[in-house]
Amino acid sequence: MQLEEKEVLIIGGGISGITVALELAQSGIPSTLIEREPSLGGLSASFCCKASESCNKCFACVVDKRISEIHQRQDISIMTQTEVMGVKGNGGKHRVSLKKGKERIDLKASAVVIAAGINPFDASQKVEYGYGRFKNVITAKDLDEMLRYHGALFRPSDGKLPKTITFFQCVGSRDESIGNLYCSQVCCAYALRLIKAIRYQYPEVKATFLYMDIQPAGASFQQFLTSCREDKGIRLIRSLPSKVYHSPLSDTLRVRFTDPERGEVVEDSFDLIVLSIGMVLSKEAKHLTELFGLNLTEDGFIASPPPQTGVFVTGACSGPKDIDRSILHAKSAAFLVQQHLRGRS
Amino acid sequence: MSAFDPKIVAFCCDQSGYPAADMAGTLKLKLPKNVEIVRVPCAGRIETIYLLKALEKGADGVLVFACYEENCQFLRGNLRAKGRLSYAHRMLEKIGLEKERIEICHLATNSGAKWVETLRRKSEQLKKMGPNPGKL
Amino acid sequence: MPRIGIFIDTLQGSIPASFQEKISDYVKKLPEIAFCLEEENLASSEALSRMGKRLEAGGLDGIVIIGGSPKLYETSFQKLRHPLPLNPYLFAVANIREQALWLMLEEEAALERAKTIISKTIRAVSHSKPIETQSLPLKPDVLILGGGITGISIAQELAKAGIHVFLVEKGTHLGGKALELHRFYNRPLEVRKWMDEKISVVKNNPQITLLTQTELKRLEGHLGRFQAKIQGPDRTETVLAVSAIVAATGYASQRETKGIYRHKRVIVFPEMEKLLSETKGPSLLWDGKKIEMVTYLLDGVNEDIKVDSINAVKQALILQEAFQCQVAILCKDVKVAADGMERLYRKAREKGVLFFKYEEPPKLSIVNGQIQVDVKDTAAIQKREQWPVSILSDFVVVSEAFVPTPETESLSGLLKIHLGNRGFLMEDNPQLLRVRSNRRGIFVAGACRFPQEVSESLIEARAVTQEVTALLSKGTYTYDLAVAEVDPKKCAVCYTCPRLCPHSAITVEKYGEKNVYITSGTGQETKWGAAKVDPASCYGCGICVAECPAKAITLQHLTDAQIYAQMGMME
Repeated sequence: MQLEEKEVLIIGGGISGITVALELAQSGIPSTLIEREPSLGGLSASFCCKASESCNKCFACVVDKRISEIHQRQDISIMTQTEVMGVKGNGGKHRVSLKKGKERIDLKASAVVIAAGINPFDASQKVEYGYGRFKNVITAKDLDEMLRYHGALFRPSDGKLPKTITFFQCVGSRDESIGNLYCSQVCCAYALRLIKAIRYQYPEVKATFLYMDIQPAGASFQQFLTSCREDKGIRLIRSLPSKVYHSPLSDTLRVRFTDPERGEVVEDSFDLIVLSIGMVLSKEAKHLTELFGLNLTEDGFIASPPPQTGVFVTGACSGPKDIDRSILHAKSAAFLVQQHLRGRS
Repeated sequence: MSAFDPKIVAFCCDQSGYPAADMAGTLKLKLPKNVEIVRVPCAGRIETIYLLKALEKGADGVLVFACYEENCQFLRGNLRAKGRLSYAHRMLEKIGLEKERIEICHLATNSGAKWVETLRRKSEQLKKMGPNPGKL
Repeated sequence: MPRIGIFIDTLQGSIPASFQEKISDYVKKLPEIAFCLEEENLASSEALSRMGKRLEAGGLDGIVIIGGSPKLYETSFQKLRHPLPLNPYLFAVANIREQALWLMLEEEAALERAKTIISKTIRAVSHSKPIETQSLPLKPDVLILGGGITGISIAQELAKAGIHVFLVEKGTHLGGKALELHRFYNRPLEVRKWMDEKISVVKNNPQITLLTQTELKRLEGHLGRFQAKIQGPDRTETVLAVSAIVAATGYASQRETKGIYRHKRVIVFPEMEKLLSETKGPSLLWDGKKIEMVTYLLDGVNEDIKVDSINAVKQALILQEAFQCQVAILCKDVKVAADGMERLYRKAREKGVLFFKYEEPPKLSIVNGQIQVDVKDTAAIQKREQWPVSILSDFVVVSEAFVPTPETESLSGLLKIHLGNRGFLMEDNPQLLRVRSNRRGIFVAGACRFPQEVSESLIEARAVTQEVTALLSKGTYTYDLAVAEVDPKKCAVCYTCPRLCPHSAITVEKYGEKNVYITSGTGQETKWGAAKVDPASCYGCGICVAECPAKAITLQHLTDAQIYAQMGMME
């Protein structure tokens, strides 16, 4: 019973799925990696580099490197535009039916790794923020893509550089009204890094950061946060805004929030508003939980089943994680898969 | 200055400059003419003499693309490159060439737009500065 | 005149036929060209086997592939070593798609650029030399430094995978800082019992050699051949031969002892954990009296570490629910960035725990034998309405500063790995992905890299186990000699390269008969030392090559000649 003959199926070609595949390949275990979209990388492949004078540890470049690394390997079968249609059997071997365009493929796998990732929270659900109605209210994902693919910052309405930008934190996270009673863990860090990167490229842009509690991320966060606090062009204000108003004549956005510095409720206008959206499980990932008979956690992410089932859940679909922790968790999952294949769970 | 296309030698490290160049190509961004790319595994491989030889043998400007601080795959290569560049600057000052002819730019694997933008800016700057008087 | 073979890869039409024809015409006129063949998708297995057959005919000094990015081709050739009868290092790629065709506005300019790239690549490849592969046997023996929760978990998992482990702990018992915990925040387990089980598994596992009261004194060698000299309790020294090393030495805590912090009612988290674990209820008694008010003072030190916030909320819930205490938690930010923490935080508020967010550090004073905590509550919007709140507390729980252990600095010197900017092991470099160190074969896990909650350390333990088993699974480490090599005759032993190699792959060795440095004028043969690069530990970055004052080091796959060829100049 040779190890190499057993099949491992990895569902999801984002950074977590890619890391599991690479780690298993390093251990001599070939795998099949399937991805719903036409290209690999998932959500994090659309992130921009958030360095200012030095690296700000956003890990976006690490994702690009892993993507090019996996394409070079011969021992990982990559199938894009492929989805799971059905699953039979458990414990010993899973029989998974896949769909790729019109093709139907059946695969037998001893271990299945679910790394289906997450969707960014749909910001239009926070109606009061005006996402989808006001052109200059964008999400952090829109901003990431703008910086990555255009290399420049501009207002969607007129293409000009915004002189003032503000970030609203906790959009879709820690929010009882939406029903998301969890912290998405990555938003404070990514928003502050975006602010730092923007201010490095455009020192004239003034930024405001409206938050509840600043969540640390990574080993260099204290230093990083101190540099944000010392930057005179960044205002860190502990207050979440209530509503965004748009004045069509001047094409500005007005936001009402409480400013402890001025000691009162104020209304400021901004050229660009960025919503720091949190994470939610996608409906395709929820469908996978039904197919594989998995449970959801209290917070609506995929709960890990006992290792004897041969199904492993890793990455952000098991709970909010940044790229750093997703990679770490994926390596841990790869080890559990190995143990399972060797019959030592 | 007359319309001349300044020759720029761009040292691109395998971890930052070179993939950024590929990404710029994938995004179909446009590069100024006359840019020679030299591929190195790490910016730390670049010796001061290469920078000076490049100018001697016909380049109008030299750009070194290296990783950001604390993001070098080989940990210290980018800092080594910075040091060698400062040394090259001191040499240039002694012989009376403009320091701006040799520059280091930090970027990451996915900084395609920044790579092209830097080369474009350098080309414009060199056009204003004129051709390298020190070339043999 | 070198004989170079050309393959043009149209990448399934990415390079349009008209462009490809012009390139073909240009190439076929060059003198060094042995042949020029076209393929539609060179990276496919059919095209590669065709290439293999053509190469078997022999007579070639190098191959240039004209197509897209080198990343598309590089590893394919390294993997197909046996069918391809030409050394992979004699291949070069002229990237004319991403870096010429797609980067130029007009086709004329793109063609010019492509021609320049192709001629430079041909010149560069004519300077290439074949590079061989070497193997290093790796025995399944690993040394783990540190017997805390991380070290124990790694030892357990590695043993399961069939690897023999030396678990070295400088103290008398296993468990480390996790022994201070009474409960986990996210699991209904009693930590002590859980730890005891893990420790007994480790003690009884024949694959694990447990060495307590033992320290690392000296480390020599490289990946696969580490010689670790350890000193046991009776001061005897042993040398362990291991293939890989894991540093899991944990962190230390420093308690503030100035003034009021020495008061017996000002306690630290482990003391509260102990009190909670030892008290059965219904109330918490201390010094004969019932404890009614406990105040937590967070974010005084350790602003970016979540452990204290997690423990504070966890303890506060136990105090409110099991012991009818009133708890107040003072912090700068409520840290809920951990699985389930937001819910726990809300539950704590429901149960009556008071949260105060402060900006100015709260003041402590002694009032009638209790501790009064004065804090300005920033919840009030108007600054003038921010009255200072006074909380008369039976206990004030403060954070201990999390610092590197006193041995960390010397450990980094012994292992020759870097320290981060706060003195913990390893700098925060995203390319190293957390569990690796700057040296091949040495890994860093757990709180010695950065103080973190136990669940995180357990995940790191498994990630390290994955890395170590992947390294040792094949029983050998195979590598290309695409590394730096020192010419011992030129080496002046200036010690520049061992100091600046970021991977600590260079040592100064004594050279034997073959490479003897003869001092001129003395007429005798003197044995001399020279720097030596360990090829298995070298990453091929070339920093030493560029720095050596005597130009004694060459990078086998990227010589000066090849760099000058790429610059478009003959040298």
